[in-house]
Amino acid sequence: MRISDLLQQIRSSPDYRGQIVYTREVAAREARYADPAEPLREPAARMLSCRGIERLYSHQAQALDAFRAGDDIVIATGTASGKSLCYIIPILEALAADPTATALLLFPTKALTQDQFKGFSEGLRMAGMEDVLCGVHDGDTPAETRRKLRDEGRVIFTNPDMLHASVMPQHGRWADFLANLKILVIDELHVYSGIFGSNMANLMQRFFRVCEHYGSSPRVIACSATIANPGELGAGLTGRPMRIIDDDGSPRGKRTYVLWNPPRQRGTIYRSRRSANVEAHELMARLIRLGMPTITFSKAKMTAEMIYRYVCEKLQQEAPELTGRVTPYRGGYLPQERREIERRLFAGELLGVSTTRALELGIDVGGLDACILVGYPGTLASFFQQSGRAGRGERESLIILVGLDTAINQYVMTNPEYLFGRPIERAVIDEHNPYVITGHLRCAVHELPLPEEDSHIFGRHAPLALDILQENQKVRRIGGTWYHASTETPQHEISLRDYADYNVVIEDIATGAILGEVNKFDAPPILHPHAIYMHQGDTYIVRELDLQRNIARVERIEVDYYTQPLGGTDVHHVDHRLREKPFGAGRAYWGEVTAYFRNWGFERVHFYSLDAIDIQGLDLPTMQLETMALWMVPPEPLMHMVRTAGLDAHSGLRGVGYATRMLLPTFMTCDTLDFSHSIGSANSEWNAIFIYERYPLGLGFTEKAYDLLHGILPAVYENVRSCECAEGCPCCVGKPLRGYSTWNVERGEASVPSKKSALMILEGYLDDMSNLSNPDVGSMTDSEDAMRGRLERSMRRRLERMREPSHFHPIDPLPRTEYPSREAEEQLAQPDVATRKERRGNLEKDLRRRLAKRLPTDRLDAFAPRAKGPEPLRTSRSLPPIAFSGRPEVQSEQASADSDAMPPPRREPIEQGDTLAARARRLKKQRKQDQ
Amino acid sequence: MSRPRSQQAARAATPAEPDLTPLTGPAVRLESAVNGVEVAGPLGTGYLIKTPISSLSGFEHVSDAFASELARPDAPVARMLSATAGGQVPVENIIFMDLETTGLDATPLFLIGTMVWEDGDFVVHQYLARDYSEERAVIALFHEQARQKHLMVSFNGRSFDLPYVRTRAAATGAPLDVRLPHCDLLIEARRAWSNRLPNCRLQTIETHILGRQRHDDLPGRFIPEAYHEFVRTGDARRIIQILEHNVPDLITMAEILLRLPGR
Repeated sequence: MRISDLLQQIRSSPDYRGQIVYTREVAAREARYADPAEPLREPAARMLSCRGIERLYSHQAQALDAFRAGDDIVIATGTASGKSLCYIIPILEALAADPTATALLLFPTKALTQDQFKGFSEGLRMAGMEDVLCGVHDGDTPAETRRKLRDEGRVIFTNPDMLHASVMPQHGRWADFLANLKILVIDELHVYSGIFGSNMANLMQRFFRVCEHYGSSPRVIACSATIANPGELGAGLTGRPMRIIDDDGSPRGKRTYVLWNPPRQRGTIYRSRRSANVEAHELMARLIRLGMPTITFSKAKMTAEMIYRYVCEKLQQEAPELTGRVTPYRGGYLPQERREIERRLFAGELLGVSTTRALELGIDVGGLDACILVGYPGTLASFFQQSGRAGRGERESLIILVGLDTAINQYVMTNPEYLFGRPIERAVIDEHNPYVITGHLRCAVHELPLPEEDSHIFGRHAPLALDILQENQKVRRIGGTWYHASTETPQHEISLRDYADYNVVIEDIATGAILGEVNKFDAPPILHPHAIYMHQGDTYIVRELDLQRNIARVERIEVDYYTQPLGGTDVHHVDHRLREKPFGAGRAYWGEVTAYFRNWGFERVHFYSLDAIDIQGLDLPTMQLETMALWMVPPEPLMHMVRTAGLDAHSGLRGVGYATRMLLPTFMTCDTLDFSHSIGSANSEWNAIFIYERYPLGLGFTEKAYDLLHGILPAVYENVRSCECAEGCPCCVGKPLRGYSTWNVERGEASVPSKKSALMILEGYLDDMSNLSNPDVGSMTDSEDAMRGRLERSMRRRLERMREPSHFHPIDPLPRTEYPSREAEEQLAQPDVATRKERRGNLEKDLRRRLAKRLPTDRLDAFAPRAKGPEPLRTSRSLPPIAFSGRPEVQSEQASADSDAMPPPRREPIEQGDTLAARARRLKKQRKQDQ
Repeated sequence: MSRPRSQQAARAATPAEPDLTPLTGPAVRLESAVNGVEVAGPLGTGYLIKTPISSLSGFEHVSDAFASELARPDAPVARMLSATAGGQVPVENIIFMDLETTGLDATPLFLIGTMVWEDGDFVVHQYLARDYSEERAVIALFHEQARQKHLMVSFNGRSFDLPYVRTRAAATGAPLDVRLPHCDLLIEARRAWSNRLPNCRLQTIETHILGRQRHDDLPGRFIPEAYHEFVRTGDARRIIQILEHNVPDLITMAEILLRLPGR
């Protein structure tokens, strides 16, 4: 059926209620072919003819010509335009030309690595080069295979994290592979933006240095999705000029974009529109019944599972034979499960897949005709990446964006030009950030001695960073060359992403099977006791979450509700208030803060009807993040004025925070997602607007923002004032969602910050804009020297702070305004890990001692659980007690309950000097006697 | 939470690792405390300390015993070494070796101890990198010495020492093309004694087979930091401890060879 007919049919169906608010057709594009200047050589030509490809698309030929001419290239063409061929052909040619040549391919995710590896090994087979050893080298690879790949592999697929933490520290073992390295492929280049990108750029510098040591100089082939600046990003990441290939020659069928807004509902206060999930599953079931392969993207793992469940139930009623051809897919599944789903998708066995961003990157999922996006994915690049999953080749395709009932979605629904009329986002990196290079310099020096004159490849702050590292006894200068001088392996302490460093494993109580893994920051919201965990559409209830052993035990249970975590992140308190200045009518500060991630409860919600059953309290440990923050404090009389004007002051402050955060990337090279904002803290003014960094210990972005505040805040004011919206929108004061917060989005509960209030606060705070460029309190001017001194102190402090254990420290009612004194020389020789452990121990001892003085003896143990958990906020149905291990009294209660029911099995004691054989004999004898 | 029984037992069996004994007296310069020379190799200079073992109390007879035993064609040691090397090996062609490193993970090494036959006696050669920049010179010096020999003897060298030097040679750009027949005593000791000893660590074999106990040894986990401290401060007291502990390690290998029952 043609897509226009389908839309017509939908529009004329009796239960259609005007959901289609906008359609846009993008005309089909003819394929353009070209031949490379020199014809293809043998193995590649055979591979192409095997695949049935007669001629290359123009951009593929262009890429091949450029590569053969000796350029490093970045290919930035649309989804499914055959970018993989642009590196497969050069690799095949290089392998055939030189029997020792090797190639390394980097992909940002494991799933993608597997997928591309499959494609490549197929290509090798077709080219008749099965004898070339190629493989995936990642965290899932068994040690034996890793060794074999390292010693004999010629084409290795891996990810940057593995390169950083596993290959680089022991590059000597990779000497042969690296010495023969001819080609380095960086796929999904656009992913490397923000902090991840800055880390990646430094990793690349280190990698090229090691390659040079082994006498090789690999050429780079990078592939990128559509972004505004692929060439600039490629050059920043690799430190080399890159030739851009972006003239897409692949054909494209007609594409129809539909914006689908769920109909309004009456009768409830907060739920004004029907659930997007309900709309999406109906659409998906309909498309599947028409035989159109469909992919649905949701923003959360939970939603993906839920939509799958809904679709299955719907198909069960209408076309039961199709239910087996739908599947969910998301991060957190086990590798084998994912591989199987990818295989079935590619083979065309599946008609529908409900997924999260996990499938957004270039995994080849074969020909899909339709794509449903549940909610705007946040950036244009992501939107086009996801919608590009539909419409392989010249087939007509349909993309439906279902609007959530949140401000940004509703804004997009009413202003479709936001999607189609704007330039796509830029990817930015700041590869010379002094804090980023400090970590990478440690690694670089560990890998190879660094001659002083070479340090400039890490930017102008490198000499300063090296001096500070020497002070900290991490590196040492001997005869004009820097050497590693500590017992640590720095690569293992420095993470390329701001991700958590370990995962929580999910285990099925009944079978002992491992269902999946989630990272530690995601575990409490998803896997708290009594949470409903969904896996392959089945519901499981979480019985226990053990954060000490990183395991969650779940039990299969059939329920008609799901759970929504409640909580979020904010700045809890200020540790050090290091800089302060009068700003406008108020003040501005910069310093060290501690932010908390906390889930205080959860809500149970019925499937379909979305009626809330109840809200329950949770007693989970709080995660904490020590970082840097900038905070702005408008004057108190102004806040009073805002309130007397009948406006919500808090909401306005939040709006200012959001608006500032959104504009930061225009003033420095960072990403809006590198920050969070929150209002007030335990030991600051209630109306302090905090902008804090989401990277452990911070990377100095907020200090730069503090320095540039006189430019930033007027721009923020101008931006909010000139925005055309009436009540606030994602372009100015914000969406109601924050990164880690978990408002009940599904039900649309959360308000857009008040624009009027934000404007009034900004106006009053900036005053007449005459008082913005003040020097810090306590310093006369802001000279270069002063800046340098500050940077030096703060870099030194950051290294010291890394040695402090992240623990729940006492809070000063008045934050200190100076850095603590520097560590003693002899302390520094101790490795960081040992120091952290010792300090943690000291703190706990000290805390016990202090509490012992104050408390009666039965409460001596400061870490014993409280006698009673927090009261549930509002409960209509009672649940059994929450089993959270790490709370001994609950465990022992359970144990005693168990022991009543069933006597414990008798254990034969092991006697001293008893050998196993003797014990076995005795037991056997006893059993015989018992019988 | 109770620990599984096997773990408890294992904990009880191994005594807690000894702690660092505090240093006494004033700082000591390396050159004034040990009898070594600076030697120039193809890749710069390193520091060489030679110790003939007959001069050491307690080890006076090892050289003679080894030489006479090896000369006897039906002695277990002669049979085993010639089986490994594929032919008779005169004592002049054997090299014993043992490394001291700054970690287990391909981090720099700073001491290569070897033991070779010179003028009727075993002589321990210790090639020491006095700072990180001398590592490549030390590897090159070792390479020079090893390539003149025909058989290498080590303790766990097959899976640790030799691959480690290879990795470091690659990383520092030093040459290392040593492809000698290799007699790994850990493998031999496991074959001979694994059912009699709690484990086959060098110290255990020393205690139970050779009947010797060591005192004042620097526990292994402190060695890396001791070396970094030496480079930083120039105070050689700890490094001397390491050097002193490296010598009996090498001699013990020769003694183990004599005690092995043969195949």
